[in-house]
Amino acid sequence: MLTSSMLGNDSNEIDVALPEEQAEAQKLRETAAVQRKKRRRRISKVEPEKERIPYHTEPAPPPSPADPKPNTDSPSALAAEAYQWIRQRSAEMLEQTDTAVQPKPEEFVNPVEMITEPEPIAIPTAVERHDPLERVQAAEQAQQQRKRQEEQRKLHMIEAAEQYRAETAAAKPIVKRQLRRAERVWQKTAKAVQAEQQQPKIDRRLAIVNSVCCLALVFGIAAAALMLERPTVSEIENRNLAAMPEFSVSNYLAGKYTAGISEWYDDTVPHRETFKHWTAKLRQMMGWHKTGATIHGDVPIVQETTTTAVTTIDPALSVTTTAATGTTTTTTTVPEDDGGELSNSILIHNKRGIMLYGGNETIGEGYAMSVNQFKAALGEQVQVYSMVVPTPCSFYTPEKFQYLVTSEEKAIGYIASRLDGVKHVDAYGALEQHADEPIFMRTDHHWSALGAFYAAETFSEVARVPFARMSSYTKVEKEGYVGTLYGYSGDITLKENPETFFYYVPSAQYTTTYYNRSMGGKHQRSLLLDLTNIKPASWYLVYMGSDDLVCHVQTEVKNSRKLAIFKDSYGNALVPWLTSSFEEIYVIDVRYFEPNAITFLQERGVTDVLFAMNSFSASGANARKIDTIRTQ
Amino acid sequence: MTRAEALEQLTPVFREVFDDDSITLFPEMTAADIEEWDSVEHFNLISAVEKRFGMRFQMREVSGMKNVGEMADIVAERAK
Amino acid sequence: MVFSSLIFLYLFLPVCLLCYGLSPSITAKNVVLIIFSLVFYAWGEPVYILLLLGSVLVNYLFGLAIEHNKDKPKQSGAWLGVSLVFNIGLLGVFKYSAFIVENLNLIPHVDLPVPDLRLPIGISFYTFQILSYLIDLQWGKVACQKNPLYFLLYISMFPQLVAGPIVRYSIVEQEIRNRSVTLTEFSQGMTRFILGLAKKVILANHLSVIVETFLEADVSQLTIVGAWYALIVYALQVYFDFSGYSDMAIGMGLMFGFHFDENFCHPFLCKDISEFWQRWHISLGTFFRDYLLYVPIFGKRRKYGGLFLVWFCTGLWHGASWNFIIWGLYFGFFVFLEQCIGKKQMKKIPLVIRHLYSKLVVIIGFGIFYFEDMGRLLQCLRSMIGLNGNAVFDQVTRLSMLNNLWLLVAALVCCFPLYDWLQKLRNRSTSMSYSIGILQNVCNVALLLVSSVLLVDATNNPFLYFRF
Repeated sequence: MLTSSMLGNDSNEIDVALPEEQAEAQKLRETAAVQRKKRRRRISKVEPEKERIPYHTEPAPPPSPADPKPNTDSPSALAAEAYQWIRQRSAEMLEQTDTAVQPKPEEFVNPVEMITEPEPIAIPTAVERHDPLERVQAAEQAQQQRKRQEEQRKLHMIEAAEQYRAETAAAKPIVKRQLRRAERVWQKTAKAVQAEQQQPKIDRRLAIVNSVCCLALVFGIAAAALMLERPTVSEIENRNLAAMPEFSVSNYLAGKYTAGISEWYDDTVPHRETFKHWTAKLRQMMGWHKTGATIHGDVPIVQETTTTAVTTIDPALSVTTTAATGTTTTTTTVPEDDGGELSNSILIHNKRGIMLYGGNETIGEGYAMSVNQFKAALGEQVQVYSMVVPTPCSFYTPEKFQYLVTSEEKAIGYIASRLDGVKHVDAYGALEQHADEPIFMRTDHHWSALGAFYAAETFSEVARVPFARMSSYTKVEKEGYVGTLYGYSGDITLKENPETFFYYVPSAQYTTTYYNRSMGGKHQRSLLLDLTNIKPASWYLVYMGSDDLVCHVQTEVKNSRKLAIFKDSYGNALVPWLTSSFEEIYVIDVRYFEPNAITFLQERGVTDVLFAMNSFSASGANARKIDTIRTQ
Repeated sequence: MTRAEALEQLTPVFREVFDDDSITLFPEMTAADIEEWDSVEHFNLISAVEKRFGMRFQMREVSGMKNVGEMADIVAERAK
Repeated sequence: MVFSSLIFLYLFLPVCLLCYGLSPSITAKNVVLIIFSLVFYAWGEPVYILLLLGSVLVNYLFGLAIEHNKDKPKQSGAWLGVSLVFNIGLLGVFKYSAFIVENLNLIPHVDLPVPDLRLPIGISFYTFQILSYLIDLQWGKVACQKNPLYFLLYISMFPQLVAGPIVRYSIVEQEIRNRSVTLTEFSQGMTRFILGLAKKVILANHLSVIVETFLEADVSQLTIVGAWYALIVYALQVYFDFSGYSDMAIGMGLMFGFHFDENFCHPFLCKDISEFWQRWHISLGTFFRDYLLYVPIFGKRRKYGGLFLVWFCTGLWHGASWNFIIWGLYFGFFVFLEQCIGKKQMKKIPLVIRHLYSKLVVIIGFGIFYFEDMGRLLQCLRSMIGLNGNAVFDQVTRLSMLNNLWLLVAALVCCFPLYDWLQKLRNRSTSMSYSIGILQNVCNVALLLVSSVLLVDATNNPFLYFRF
């Protein structure tokens, strides 16, 4: 390391010189000082003056007043200073960066060492210094040489310093990046270590919160389930909910008792309807329904040859099957229908529920034959009519889903072609003309009073009976109707878009008598029920109430025409429209009639028999029913 | 035969079954220490050991051995 | 009683937890567990509970006999043999007699009456647990359980009684006598239970509706996409159904202080079939591996014989029908294939192909699992490759996918180890730990509520593996 003493040797020499030399030397010193100042300023422009951090980590001792002022005048001091500065900068950076960044010691070129040692100045020997002028000259020369060399050295130093600065400047971003990365890693590790240390404590706290919340929930709901009142009827599903079973040893051993308790507990949840509503909403959230159509139930694969069709069961009978809603079958006080299965393919489109018809063309064969035989049994005096009513799928199924349904028109047409002696009533044509009117209900599988009107009108033409105009009826509307299709499909779209239920009250006078299915239990009641206390889902019951009563209407019409309607639930809606057409009307459900139909009709002097049911019902199972009531 | 000897003689068998010449056996070694050693490779190993030493393992041993040391003990006991 | 029913969640379980929590000593706790377990089983099987109790008693005595003859391997082996015959015989009678007789009747001139025995719930599971105890006892791996009540507890413990996992005695041996539940573990158990419940009620039940829609109908009418879609959904349904139930069992076990082994480990992440079976129904796989794989009945051909036996039995265990046996052997074939290729070669095959291959095999495997009727299976397979002349895609499939879009996405996402990823995230820093922890707690409550609401509507959702 260059020491000031090495550089300062000559100054000592100079001090020994003559006064002129001393003056010269003084001048040199001044210029050097000026130059030093200049350089200092230059240096300070490049890099802000930093605190002098020594290479070693101990803090620099503060300069005490007693310390001699550092000899900054001599070139050697300048070099030392510059060198010191470089050293400090590199020290700072080395301290903070990875050792990887630190240039290897062998690569670190001490810029000062780059400078070649000054050539030894040829100092004139004592002999040569004999001549004072020569001595001075020699000294001057020597000084000049020294000066030049100093200049050179300074230049070298500056160059070296600049070079090093450039290199470190280049290295700086790398170093900075490394610094930042190291910082990040350290932070991450520190956090992870801290997290690991704290983990048990955190876990414990969270465990407390979790356990408390969940247990509170479980126990709270358990208590609520036990203490709150439990419903007994489901409006939406239109059935009675499970009841607490009776204990008997055989029941218990068969597992029915415990299963019954489970069912009761699960079925009669307090505020059940609200939960069902929420369930429907959650189910809705499981998919993307912007296409506007949803299918519920089985894929309605259209069969080529099938003899079993599906029948509609009047929901008023309160029987559901497992397929439709996933609820277990429960029977109510009303007897179970053993005739058919519920179609559970429901397409929801445009806020309308459409049951998808899947019967093939010849599916009505059995029905047609049964009706023919009925006619044959009744003879020539009695007119027999067949009205097979289409369902919404014929009119409202969108184009792209047409392949899911078979043609009701064809099926009905086929039946018409097979009728023998029985007159066909073209309800399809009548409804088709008015398809854009509300002839079917949106949320229920029944037709509306308006649809029944058009069908009844057509029937009256075929039967050649008078028919009262609609203006003689009073329309009654009730808002907020959500029908059976919501219960069957569980689709929230239907629940959220209720419709207006309407029916028409005839102005004609008539009396209505009801009998049970064996023609006993005679009692009088109105034709159209009072719906004030009836929940929306059951408003279709307005027509005569449940299906298993036989209804006898006596009107003021005196044309000796007596009508018997053998029907499913669709037929119910026709009756009000015919109160000005026939003297007497009997309304009989083919499923719930015990006497022999032929005898009954002959005893009562019935002149016209109408079979009115929808396409789903005009099939095998009900055909058998028609045979049964004919022959029983 | 001692356990150590058995271990020594088992080493080439292991190396061949698992096709890995770097395997060195130690008594506490288990299936977790060799990557390829699963229930079906175990079969191959058992068969190879049985063949090499002319002995049979009992079923309880085949699925019940805890580590190579146990295997070595059984081999040491029964090898011909 | 089914785990995913309101009466279990909000009547049985709270009362049980209350009684268990209030019990002062381990003995009292065990008694509480036994009583509740018996009530639980009797709820579904009021008659066959006697079978369970009888079986437990007889096998307890067998255990004592084996223990008594500890030093005489021949005698203890003989006792083990007798007990095996008894237990497997019992299982065979209840589960397989009809199947066996039906097949015997195929032989000309053989016309035996087909027995009509109802299968007791959980018999496959508890029979195997008993077997594991007896075999381990004879092999000297576990100590004999001299306390009949504790043995009854092991067999009848309600979390794992009716549908697994098949818990080996060695796992609970210590914990029967000596266990404690820390708050953290209780909370973990609760979380696990709720996750399992959510898997079952939210995912599996709704996926099953899709499967019913497509596969209950005429499968020869399915489109190509429709058939694949239906089977993929079915695979997901079975996974969430079964693993959900296992999660509930493990969670409840944890709440009582028992540490059961995992039964499922994200099986759809597998790269090949051998790995699939290390991740699917692990307790069954390990059971067969430990007790059946090395049976020396095939002499020199041990390996192949063992494999055949294991896979035959795996299939057979799932049901008394040929399609299940074929299913087992189908997987056995692929495991064998992979064995032949060798692990090193398998690793060289690119990852994408391995994933694709394994998923393909698994999906078709589930097709075999679903259709008990071979004819329908063939029709479905034909539909899958379009041999039935149907279109590739149709409106019904499209609608089904759209109407269930988020459900399907959630189902696919939940095949991944989300919980583990979240845990790893938690380890980053304390604030992450807290926030994710709180998130998990909120999710727990939400999932519990959602599942409960959905359960109100579904009064009928029996667990798929219930009759096993």
